[in-house]
Amino acid sequence: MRTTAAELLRDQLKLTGTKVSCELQVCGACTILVNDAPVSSCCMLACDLDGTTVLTVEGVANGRELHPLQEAFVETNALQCGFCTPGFIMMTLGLFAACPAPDAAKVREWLDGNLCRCTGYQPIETAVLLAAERLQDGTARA
Amino acid sequence: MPEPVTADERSVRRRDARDKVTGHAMYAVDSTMANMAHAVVVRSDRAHARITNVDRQDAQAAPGVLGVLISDDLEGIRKRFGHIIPDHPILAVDKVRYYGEPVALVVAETLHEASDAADLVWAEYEDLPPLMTAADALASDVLIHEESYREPGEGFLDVVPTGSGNIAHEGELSWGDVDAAMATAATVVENSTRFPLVYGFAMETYNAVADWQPGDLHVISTAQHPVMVRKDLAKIFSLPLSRVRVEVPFIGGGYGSKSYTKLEPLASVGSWCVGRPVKVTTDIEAAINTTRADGAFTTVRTGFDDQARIVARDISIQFDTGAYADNSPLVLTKSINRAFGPYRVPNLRVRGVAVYTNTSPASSYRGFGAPQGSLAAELNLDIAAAQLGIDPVELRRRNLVGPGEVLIAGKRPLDGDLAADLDAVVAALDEHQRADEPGLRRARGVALSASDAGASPISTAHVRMHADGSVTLLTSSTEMGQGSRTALAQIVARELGVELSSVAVGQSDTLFTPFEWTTGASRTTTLVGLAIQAACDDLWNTLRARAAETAGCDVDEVTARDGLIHAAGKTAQPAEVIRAWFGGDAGEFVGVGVTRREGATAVLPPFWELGVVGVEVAVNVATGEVTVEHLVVVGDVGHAINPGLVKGQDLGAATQGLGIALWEELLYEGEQLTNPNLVEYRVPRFRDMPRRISSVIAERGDGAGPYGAKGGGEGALNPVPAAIAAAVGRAVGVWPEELPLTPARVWALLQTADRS
Amino acid sequence: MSVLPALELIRHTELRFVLDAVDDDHVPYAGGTELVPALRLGLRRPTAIVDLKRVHGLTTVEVDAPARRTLIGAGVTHRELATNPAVAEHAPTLAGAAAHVGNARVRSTGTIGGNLCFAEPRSDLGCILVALDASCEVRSSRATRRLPIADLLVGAFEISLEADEILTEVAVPFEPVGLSYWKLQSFERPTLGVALIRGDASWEITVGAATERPTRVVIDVGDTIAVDTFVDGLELSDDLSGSPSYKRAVLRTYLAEALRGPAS
Repeated sequence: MRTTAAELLRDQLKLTGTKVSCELQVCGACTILVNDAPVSSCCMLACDLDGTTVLTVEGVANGRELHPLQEAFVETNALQCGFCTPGFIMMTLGLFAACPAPDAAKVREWLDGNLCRCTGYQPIETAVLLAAERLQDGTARA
Repeated sequence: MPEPVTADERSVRRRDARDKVTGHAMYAVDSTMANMAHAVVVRSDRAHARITNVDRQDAQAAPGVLGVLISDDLEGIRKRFGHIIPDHPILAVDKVRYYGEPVALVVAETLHEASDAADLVWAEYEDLPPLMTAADALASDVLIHEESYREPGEGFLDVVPTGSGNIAHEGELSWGDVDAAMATAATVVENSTRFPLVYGFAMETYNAVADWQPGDLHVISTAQHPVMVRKDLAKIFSLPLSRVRVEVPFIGGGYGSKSYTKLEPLASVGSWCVGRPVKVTTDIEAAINTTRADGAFTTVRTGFDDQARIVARDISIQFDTGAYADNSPLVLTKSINRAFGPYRVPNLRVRGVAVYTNTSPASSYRGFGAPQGSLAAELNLDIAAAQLGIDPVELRRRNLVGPGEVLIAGKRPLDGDLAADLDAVVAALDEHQRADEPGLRRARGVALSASDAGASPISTAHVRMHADGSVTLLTSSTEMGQGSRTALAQIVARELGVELSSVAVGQSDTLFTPFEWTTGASRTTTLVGLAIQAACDDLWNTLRARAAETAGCDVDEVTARDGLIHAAGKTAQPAEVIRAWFGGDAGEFVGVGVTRREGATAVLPPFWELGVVGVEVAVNVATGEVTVEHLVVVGDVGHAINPGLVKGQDLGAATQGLGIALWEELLYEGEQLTNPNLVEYRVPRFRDMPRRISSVIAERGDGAGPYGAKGGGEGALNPVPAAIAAAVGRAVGVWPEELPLTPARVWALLQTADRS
Repeated sequence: MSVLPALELIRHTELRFVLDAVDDDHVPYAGGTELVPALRLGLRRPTAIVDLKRVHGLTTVEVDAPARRTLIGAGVTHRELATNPAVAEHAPTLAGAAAHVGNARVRSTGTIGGNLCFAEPRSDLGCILVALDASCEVRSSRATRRLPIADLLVGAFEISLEADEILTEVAVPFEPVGLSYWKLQSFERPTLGVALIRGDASWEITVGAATERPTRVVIDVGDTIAVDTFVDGLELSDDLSGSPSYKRAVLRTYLAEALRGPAS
């Protein structure tokens, strides 16, 4: 019972897209969606995934086709080293699930829960707003 | 050959973006090797102590344990490493020199078993007086390092072991007669600043997987400089360089903090001991206790004539460099060179000393000594401006070194137009200035820096053209987010006139990729770029020569133009030339390019990395909270291979600068850190984003690199701490002496201002 | 990475079995937000953990209109607290604070019960609940008892529960008119929190985050000297977010501003 959700994903299921960094729920690198809600997989016990639906970054793209959010990150250079990126993707999907048309203030407030050391955050905000816009006006489908 | 023209056209998508947004990108921490075991490091809980005993019996008997190593077990291999001063034990030898120093390594089948067994290792110590600050260490008779480690011919920086006190390194840069000049100066302004102990916080913490076999060592790690690590490992295990393979996948953040050897020896001795691949990882606290950045106490005295021109600068820099030197002697040397700023200084004396303390070892971090000196020296000019009644920007303009002028005798003249950059910053600040509001005081600050960057101009590149005309670039530079994988491919495509999508890049695997000095010092685009251009030239020469052979004509009659080969009246694609020469649908030509201290890079530094930054802040007088209203950065990079990547690097660097200015400090209380975690060590967050960000790239083609390029990636950090300190100082009415300017510190400054 | 110690897991859907199981060595948890890091750091070394998430009856929100209070199950998450209509109507300040606890991940799994029982001083919910005179129900296999939240939170990371007791419900009186909550937070945790009830006859001031436990005082309207005495007498933490004198000064400035003029 000592296995965390992150360890289950990374070490046993070999889904290494989910990353581990701060181990204190501050950085969000380990974010996954559990029943559509974002959680810190490094602070959740694997046994508590029992009976839930889990989405990790590996499940976001539709086969070869990137999700509009992923596409927006690529377009706006919303990443550099990329280690925080899966966490931001999942946290943003959690935002869209709770609030499909967030404004900039809402985006900043929600994503203040994730750390990035490389980009200075501005391109991430741009990417998220771009993706939200596209998903809302139907120019992109999730 | 369609030349990319506009900034937009050059800002192509990152090569690695798709992998990184899908979770497909592999980092060292994701890597495994077949039959891999796991190791946990047992770390010291003393800052300074002799090890009297290590009891491993219970640990050795624990389930799953394959071995428990201490330094005594390292028979027949070198116990210490350190590319400048080989003072760094793989496992503590007879004493520990900081809380968190590796004492034992527990190797087991699983990470859980290794961790459980590590709890059963009992180390006993005889405490020694801990020297927790540079001042303590200098004042004490107690030595942190009781022996000299100098080995003739070792290391690339000629460091003289001082053997005096706890000094790892010291240096001086001087010219003229500072004392005489100060004596006759119209005004002398003095200030001091304390630069905090900073943690790089790369989100992927240090880790390594190693597989030692008799005669071979294979390591996968987070090393920014695989070639440097290879050298250290080869020395440790007495292996030829060729038989040590260091492989570095994507790095989850480097910023200089992953420069040189870190965990690789630990993983390697673990494997050497148990005969299987071994993986070692770190959590945040262990990562902080692997490497941090040098803290500094800097004092600056500047003498001015009656025209507010600098006549002399006298600077002293004292680094708190932690328990082991790592790269800090070089950081100190650069700090000394960079401290006086990009100004005309007729009489100069800069003295620096790097002091050992019983704290986490300090080493490279973005800025590389420039921020530590610039904080005091730039703030000094703001203080002087106020005293002299001159606008602080005007004071700088009056003293700035111009393009083509010499900053330091014997070094490359300045290859940038700082005055123009400064004008751009001021214009941007002026455009969006905001007034005070009740409870909020606004002020601005501007700061400049020039760094002798680029490190050593030794770089090699291999460009392989395949039988279908596609190309693979091989380079030992690493991709840590700065975008080298993309920018270097762009240079290849431009030089060879091929589609970018047909260029593959193989990086950072010393078995396959050619020698690269380092990935750091903002050098990659410029120096690897020059090597790539040379390799492409070499490839064109080969294509011409082989085409001549096949056509039976003289090579002088063969030309390369517009991406095609013209020989004996015929025009051919390079691919056709290759296939014709080899016969069959086969073959490959390899262009080899080398950069050394010759030609464009004969004079050092290869380029000056410039930093020009402006900020406007708002200070809440009740709480001391500082909001950055406007951040302006100019990236004076000569030519941006990929402007999008340059802007990304500038904003990231400036953000790390804001972190140092406003939030970041590692604090020791007694022997240990009070905040070795991300709750208590505060890094910049989404909410800290400046309200307005103006990021400008200046491209004047004035660099020695490809297409007139110079390096970037650190310049935007260097002046930020000083600019923020100046702005806050203006807002509160007291010049800061210490960073970070947390709300509580700013509030304390406000109280000081009120009292005076 | 660091790892968790070996653990057994105990799960029940019936509360009584959970109550039988819980003690010093078999610790209850819901979200795990606090427990997992504590286990990782070796701060707690239980043999087993007892999952409360599957227990019937711990995750409901009910309005008790006659008693003018809302009954919140200890297992209600911050996210649910922030979005529940009954809480929004009868305890909007609490809902607002819950909407900003930690981050969205913490709010997905962290619970009001877990938050209170961890008793991190740098917290908003405890301060507001004390200001509201909230109480809680605590159960063990021996007995059920109620106590004010103010008596539950006895110190930094210290609660007045026995090892075999678990918190099952929080009773939150309907918020009075004139309640406000203000905080200073520049770091990962709040630095200073003030819940203020400006009544016609009295000022009720509850200070949290900088204190070891939420500290409440009731002062006659207009008695600024009593406010000063209260502020000067508070024991405030000295940590990386500032010294006691810094926090005291900010508190003084805030209260002077907030208590000025008529109650809105």
